[in-house]
Amino acid sequence: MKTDSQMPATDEPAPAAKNGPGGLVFDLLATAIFAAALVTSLQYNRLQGLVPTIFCSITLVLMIAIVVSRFARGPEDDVAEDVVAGRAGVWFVCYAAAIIGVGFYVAIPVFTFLYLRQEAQLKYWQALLFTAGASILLYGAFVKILYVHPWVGLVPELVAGYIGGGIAPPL
Amino acid sequence: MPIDALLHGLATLMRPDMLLTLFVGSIVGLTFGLLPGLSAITGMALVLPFTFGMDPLAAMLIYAGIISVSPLGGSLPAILLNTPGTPQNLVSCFDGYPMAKRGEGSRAIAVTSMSCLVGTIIGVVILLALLPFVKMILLKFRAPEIFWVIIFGLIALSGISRQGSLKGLASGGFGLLIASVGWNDVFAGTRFTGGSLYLWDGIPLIPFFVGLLAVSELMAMSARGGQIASNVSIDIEVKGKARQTWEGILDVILRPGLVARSSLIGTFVGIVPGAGGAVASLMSYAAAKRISGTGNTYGTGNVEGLIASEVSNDAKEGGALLPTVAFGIPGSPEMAIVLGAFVMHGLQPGPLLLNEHMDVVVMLVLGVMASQVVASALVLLGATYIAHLTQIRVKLLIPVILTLCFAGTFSIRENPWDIIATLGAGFLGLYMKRFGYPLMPLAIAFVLGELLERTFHQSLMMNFGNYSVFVSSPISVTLIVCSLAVLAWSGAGWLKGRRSAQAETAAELAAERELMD
Repeated sequence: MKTDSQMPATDEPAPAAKNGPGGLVFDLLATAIFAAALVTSLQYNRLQGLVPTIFCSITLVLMIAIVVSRFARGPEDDVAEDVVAGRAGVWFVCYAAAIIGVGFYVAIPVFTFLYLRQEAQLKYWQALLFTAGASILLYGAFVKILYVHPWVGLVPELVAGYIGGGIAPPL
Repeated sequence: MPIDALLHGLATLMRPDMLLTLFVGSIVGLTFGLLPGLSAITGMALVLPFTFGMDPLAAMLIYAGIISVSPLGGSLPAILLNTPGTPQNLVSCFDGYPMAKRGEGSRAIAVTSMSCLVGTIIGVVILLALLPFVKMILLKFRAPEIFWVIIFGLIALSGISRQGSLKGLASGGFGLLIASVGWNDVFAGTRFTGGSLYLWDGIPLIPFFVGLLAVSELMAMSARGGQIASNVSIDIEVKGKARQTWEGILDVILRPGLVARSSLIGTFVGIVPGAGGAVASLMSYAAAKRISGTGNTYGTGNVEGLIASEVSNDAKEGGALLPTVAFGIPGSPEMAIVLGAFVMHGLQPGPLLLNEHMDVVVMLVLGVMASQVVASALVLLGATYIAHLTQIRVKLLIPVILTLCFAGTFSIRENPWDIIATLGAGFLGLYMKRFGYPLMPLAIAFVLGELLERTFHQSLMMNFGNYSVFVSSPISVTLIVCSLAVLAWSGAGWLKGRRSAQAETAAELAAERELMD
């Protein structure tokens, strides 16, 4: 019997965790988003809000039907699966935050080394070697081949052109 | 398709830079097909940022390589390790793996390579034959007809979704909502931006696709961990490899009836919008088993079973191109990404694509065929070595691929906030999949949402605000009827599923009561 690691990736959703409390929260959140979008659409002028009003109304009805059918089926426990996904999510969020904060030149090698040591359980020297190889490859690909200047980070400038001093456009 | 467009396309393809691009696309397709967990969809999403600045013709070769070759790549672990590289290679395990176990691995791989090549060529030939007729129909498409084509495409994709039409339709609605964010030319105003300058141009396409399709899959892989394939040694009979390879090639050539039937099934399944996955190969396998005189040996290493599944798998890609390039409705999930790529390169998907950008369509079609030739040759020469890639541990790949995702999306506009958009889309994709919402309707609705709204307003303007324009032509009425039919069919399927689930629950409760008694 194939384990999870052997199952191929697919666009189709996982069969598990459909009816658990996490799923209900997600459905309710989506319903709230469409309700808010519908209210916002109604405040635009006729042309601007017409199409969003139509599809938000239809989708809101669908979401209510989905939530009602969930209550009809009853919840199942899916906490364990959510916890496992959360740990991976933390790594990814920290990596993105590191890139924004200190830039690619620092974030790539630091994240790669820590991830390989912590998650992949590589030995110290293996992780270091892999990190060095991956960093050189990525630097070569982006800077020398694609001529993209990697983001240097929002922190105050520490090494000109490499670490810090980046100016991000306004949000 | 005009002959001169084809000849011009061939001449362009023969340029050294284009051939190199074709080779790169084939390698990427082979790699992403080979590694279970990394499908063609992930590969397409990953290369989008890197092809952004490329000439559209060269970019089409990369996409063609990934789409066309990934089923071939996915068949290698299916045959050697009983682990399909992509979902559509599931059926290849049935007979491919038993063949490898009894020492005919080289023959199975040769059968696969030849089948993929022949299937692709036949699928493309059928596509080229149908295109002139489709073009004639397309001339009758105006704004209302294009509007209904998009609606039909979204409903068809949602209805075909395994998890039921309610969540599929809701997913499509979410995609339309995301597509509405930002500035709109029709009424010269912004919507749903919350005053944010970042959202003025809307949710950026590439970071969203990369996050939704690639980063979400990486998160899931990181959570699952383990090895890409089981720790089984890859053992191909080395002695007699050349003989087995020749036998495998002959196996396909000497079964023209099976090849033709499987190609037709694959091509026409591919034409059905959204029918991806293993549908074509399953149907072809079932048909071959029923018709064959040795049907009872299918599943034990019958070479016909492998031929049937592999030929239809690849013929499907030719069929899937037809609705994609002609109507802007993706024929498969991979074609949904191609539509996004069209938009990225400034090409409007839909009926006008064939008329205004025939060179792009030709290059995509030629790329599908040519990359299959390249990949088949590579696989025939080095299958054993390529298949060892499946022994790599998942967590070694994640830092590299994640970095490619983040750096790739940053490189488009050199805006660091695109990295946050990518990450956000990654979480969205992860939890949508986890809680039963298919991603393809969302992706398609996101790509086609703007066109949908524009054609809606154009239709009203054409008829001075009168809504009767939407039901005034036979094509529109036909599309409305088809959409309602798909909704009714998927609704009936949902009700049937609920009744079965309720019946199962009742049976389980009854069984428990008996045990307690």
